[in-house]
Amino acid sequence: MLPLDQNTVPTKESRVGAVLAYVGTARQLIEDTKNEQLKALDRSFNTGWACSHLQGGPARIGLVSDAVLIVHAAAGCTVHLLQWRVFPFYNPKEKRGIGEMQYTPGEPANWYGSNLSEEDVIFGAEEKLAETIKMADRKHHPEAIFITTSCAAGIIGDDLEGVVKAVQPEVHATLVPIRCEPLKSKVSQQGHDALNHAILKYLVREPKQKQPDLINVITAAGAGIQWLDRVYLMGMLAKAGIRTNVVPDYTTTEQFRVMSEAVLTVCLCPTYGEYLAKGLEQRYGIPYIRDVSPWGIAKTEEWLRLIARHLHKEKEVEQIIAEEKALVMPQVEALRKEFQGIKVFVSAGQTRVFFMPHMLVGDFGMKLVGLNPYHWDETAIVHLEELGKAAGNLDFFIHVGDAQAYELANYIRKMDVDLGLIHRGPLIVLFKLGTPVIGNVFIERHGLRKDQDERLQMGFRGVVSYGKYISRVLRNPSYSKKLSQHTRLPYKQSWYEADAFSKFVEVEG
Amino acid sequence: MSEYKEAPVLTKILEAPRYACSLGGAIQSVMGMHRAIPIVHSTPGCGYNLYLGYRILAGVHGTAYVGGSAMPCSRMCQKEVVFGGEEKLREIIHSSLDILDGDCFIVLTGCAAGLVGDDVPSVVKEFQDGPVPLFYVETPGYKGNTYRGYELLLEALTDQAMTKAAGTERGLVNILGIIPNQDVFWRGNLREIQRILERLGLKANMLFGHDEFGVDAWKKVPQAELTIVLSPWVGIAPAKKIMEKFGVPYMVFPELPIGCDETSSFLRQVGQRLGVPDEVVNRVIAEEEKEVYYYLTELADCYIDFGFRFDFVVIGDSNYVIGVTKFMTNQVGNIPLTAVITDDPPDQYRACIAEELTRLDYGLKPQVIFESNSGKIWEALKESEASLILGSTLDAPLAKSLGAAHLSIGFPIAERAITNNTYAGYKGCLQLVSDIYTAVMQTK
Repeated sequence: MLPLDQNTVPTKESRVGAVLAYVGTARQLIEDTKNEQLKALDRSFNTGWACSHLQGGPARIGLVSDAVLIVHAAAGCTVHLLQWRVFPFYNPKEKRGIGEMQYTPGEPANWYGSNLSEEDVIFGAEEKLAETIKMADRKHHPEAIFITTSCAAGIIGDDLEGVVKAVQPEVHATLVPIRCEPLKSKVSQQGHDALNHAILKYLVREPKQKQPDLINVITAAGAGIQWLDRVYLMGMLAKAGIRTNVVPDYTTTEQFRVMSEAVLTVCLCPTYGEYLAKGLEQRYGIPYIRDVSPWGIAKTEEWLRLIARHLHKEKEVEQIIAEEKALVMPQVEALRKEFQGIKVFVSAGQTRVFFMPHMLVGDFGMKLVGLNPYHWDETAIVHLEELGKAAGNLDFFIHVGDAQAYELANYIRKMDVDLGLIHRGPLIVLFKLGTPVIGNVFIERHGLRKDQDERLQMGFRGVVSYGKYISRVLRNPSYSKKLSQHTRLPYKQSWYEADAFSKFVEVEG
Repeated sequence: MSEYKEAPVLTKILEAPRYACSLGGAIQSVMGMHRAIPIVHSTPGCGYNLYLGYRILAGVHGTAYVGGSAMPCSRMCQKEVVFGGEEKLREIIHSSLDILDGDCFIVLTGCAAGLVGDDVPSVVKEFQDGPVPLFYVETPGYKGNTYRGYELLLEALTDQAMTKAAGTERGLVNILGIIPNQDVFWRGNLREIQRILERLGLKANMLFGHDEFGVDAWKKVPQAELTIVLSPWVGIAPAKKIMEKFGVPYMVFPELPIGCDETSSFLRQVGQRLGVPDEVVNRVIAEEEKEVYYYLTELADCYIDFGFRFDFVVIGDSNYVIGVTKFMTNQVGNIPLTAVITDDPPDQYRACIAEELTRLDYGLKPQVIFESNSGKIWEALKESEASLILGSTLDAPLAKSLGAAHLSIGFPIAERAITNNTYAGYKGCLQLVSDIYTAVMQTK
């Protein structure tokens, strides 16, 4: 049971047994988890990684068009949020749609930092926070004001809920405090739980009436599942007569409120959406799908059929599957010929390490040699088992570690890898090593959309465009090869010769 | 709408500030030092958040030698907040020395370490006999902004890395005031400043740079004849400290010199201070100006033909705003409307900054605004008559609403990849006029 009435969420470590360090085979990892034999490990050498507060969940409120985000923190915490404002891909201006589905992207959301000063950390900054909330309400007339805290605000002990309770009667907006002091948990994905908890506690309202053709879809802009994939996937569902309520990216406050009226929740990323999907089930009895995600042909079919079964749209969905497959399969066959037998390694968050490889092994015929998930928890057992079925074995290498680039740099050269699909962070480190790696996230950085499908990753058409991208990388590795001859990584030679996992240390559970 | 009176406490609230915290400034600066390795003593996300915040928005820069997810971090968590993080710090220093190959390591602290009250100096002292120098700077975010972080690093290393020199190295000058990545053109700007000083026969100690200027350069600071601060305020505090400790005098040139007038004036002042013969200074200036005026003359054909005379607004760090306003006004004939200073200079420097901006040729005087809150900047400019906004990417919507052309010249800057480009000196002014031309012609 999730503690939906509490102010704070349990840590991912305590709730789902999340760990950040492991090395072994997929089979061992599953067995150790089932037998409760996962050791509590830390590292004596750590690199920094995404802040659970700012790269994690709460920052995504920047994409709620009628809300304001207040970050109760020192000035540096908000610097990353500048991206929400200045990058057009976070706020696509043009209206897009497929069939009856229309998405009108919002304007960049407003956010404020409370700019905690030395004086504030000594005397407390609750008044400042209260006044900021009132100012934001007056100035922007938002539907909701999300308020997040920081390490500093958490340590000085500002009473967030107290401030919210006192100010709420004076403002129009629904106040949504998100308690996510990053120092609570070591897992950066903790931020999503905190955000989802706040959405459930403060925004989702009792259903007025169930909408039998409506499903909730929890997207994952932070994981690079962005506008095009969303338009394409939701477009297919729309064609089948299924309406989608997509949160929390490119959305409005009202869409959070009506989540209770949907008949199904679907998580496009198993990590980002887990807490929200489970909370909606716990409180409103809404079933959810998070063990299947539409990566690759087979899983896309399975995903569509699962949704269709819940909404009794089997016939419509079969029609779509047939049409889409007729369109893409000749190209998928050609890509499979090109990629057959390529040895692939993937490093990323859960959606990309456990779901994306279904495309790599299932559609392209690649051989999975290793995975580096950022964290591991017991809810992922089923995902890894499913991937094992697709790959034909569970003997591949697994290294759990959140962007610990020095470990990857050590072992990736000793592995026999033809292609590494690596997430931002370790990506550039490995690229400089001269290993054939590519960024596995298609973030819509630019507007070169001559062909909209060109930047898709998910669904049937995503297989083709992702394949084309991989093909370009494999056909011309010159940039990485040349760089590796002219750049130096900061590791000592002795580190490359050491055991890659020699910095693991056991800690008290 | 009823008139809303703002509570006094809100004057310090920031909407989209164009800088980060002191830890942010220190991280960017250490990343700018050749082969220096930052060790972040804080919660897991500080280093990466601050790196990422600057990465794309400082005109696309990379992880340098040890940035991004290669940057060591002590990852303070619940336990360290309760019991202190010194053990974690000791561990990460030890393992960093073991794995990473650098010329110096610099511990930078964040909010958590600051609030918990870890005794960082004592922990660092335990490693003082190691093979590689280890320094520390206390930079919790609440202590100040990016600019202060840069200064804290300079001040800390003045105490920890520099020792009294046996003598002065003739012609050696230290350059302060240009912050890596906060100044999005820092690499090109430093190169141009270095180039023109070297033309005078001087040796420029730039302190930052990708292929030289690491800890060895910092150790040479006390040997310099002069420290030059290229800002009306950023860097003055450490320059004073360097003077007090090592007797190196400093000179404040309150701007990034851009174009012939200001760059030549800069060279004359420096030349005079350091006894460079007039004929050398005059020859260099003549040669450099000749080159610039060749291009400015060629450009004039279309500039005058197409009516390139702008009422312009500059928004940015004070050294940029002064440098750009002077060049745009005194050299290429535009009308300064408003100068918005976003780097939050301490009160004692504001009058001097305003004076620099109002001492322009032909009695031209822009309105001068000191404001770090972007929302308030846009509010102040919403009725502006400007036809050209020189600011950051944040100001593009403002320019659009005014029907003005827009060019990003400072952080955050999303639409430009900046490599060795510069707006400084002789070279830089040509880049600026050509970028303005492109921006105007692309305005729809």
